[in-house]
Amino acid sequence: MTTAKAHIYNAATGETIERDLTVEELAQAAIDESASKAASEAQDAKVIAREELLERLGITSEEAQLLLGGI
Amino acid sequence: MGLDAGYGIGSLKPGVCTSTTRPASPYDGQVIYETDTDKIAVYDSSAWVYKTGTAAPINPAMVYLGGTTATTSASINVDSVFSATYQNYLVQVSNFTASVEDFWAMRLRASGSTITASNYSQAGQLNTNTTDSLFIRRTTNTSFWYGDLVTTLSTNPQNIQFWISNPFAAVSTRGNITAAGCTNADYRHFFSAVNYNATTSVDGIALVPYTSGTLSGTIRVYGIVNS
Repeated sequence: MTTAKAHIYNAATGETIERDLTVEELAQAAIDESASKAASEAQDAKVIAREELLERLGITSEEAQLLLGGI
Repeated sequence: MGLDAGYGIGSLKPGVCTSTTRPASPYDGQVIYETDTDKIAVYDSSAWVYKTGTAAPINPAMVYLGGTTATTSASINVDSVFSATYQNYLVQVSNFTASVEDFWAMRLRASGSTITASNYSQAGQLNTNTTDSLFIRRTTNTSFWYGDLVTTLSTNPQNIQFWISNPFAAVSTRGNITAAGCTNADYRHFFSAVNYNATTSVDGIALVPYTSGTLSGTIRVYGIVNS
């Protein structure tokens, strides 16, 4: 398995380094991934709730947009 | 030394003449200005030689500060690029691709460390071939965000512009992010106003995947001359 690398350019010195992610950076990546999945699941839940509401109301998505002033 | 036509006898304009009224007995190093050719000539031992100058340099409005190209990196970082010299900057990312379909995130850096505090906010619009959406991310986020890279980015890379104001000053850092890419059949267009709501001086920037995978591309940073 390839180790994830950070690419870092320093504009003051002109130097570029490639190094392994630090423990802190790996931990942050795990936090980001978890937060992203939670946000994605929340978005999916919103979409499902919206579709269920439209079905109960008996209108299409386009008709709902017209009601709300969308184009 | 006598006066001749090269010295402009009647009008007392030394060295001013025309190409047909040059001094009859010039000396080495003599300089004249020809009104008909609008040129300066120097007598170089045996002949008059026109002196051509180069245009004075124009002060640039934007100065290139540095850049780098990364390939399949978990993060692309530029450090020590924002300073007190410039108030505003352009960060240009070209040929930007991702290894997996994902969002990407942009964070600020200070002294070599990426800032992940929950002070990032933004509002904007994302247009794809299937979705048009407005979004607001209030000040509880740990990054600026751009949505929906696609796997076709490997052959249709995106270009991103990030205009950023006051990053080095100890005030809120604000800016605009725009991006465009892909084909007409599968596209992602994005613009967003962003704000880092803390009085933190930052000197760098980081691009990271929002969830997983790697990023590739070239990032360049320009300082906009203050005046």
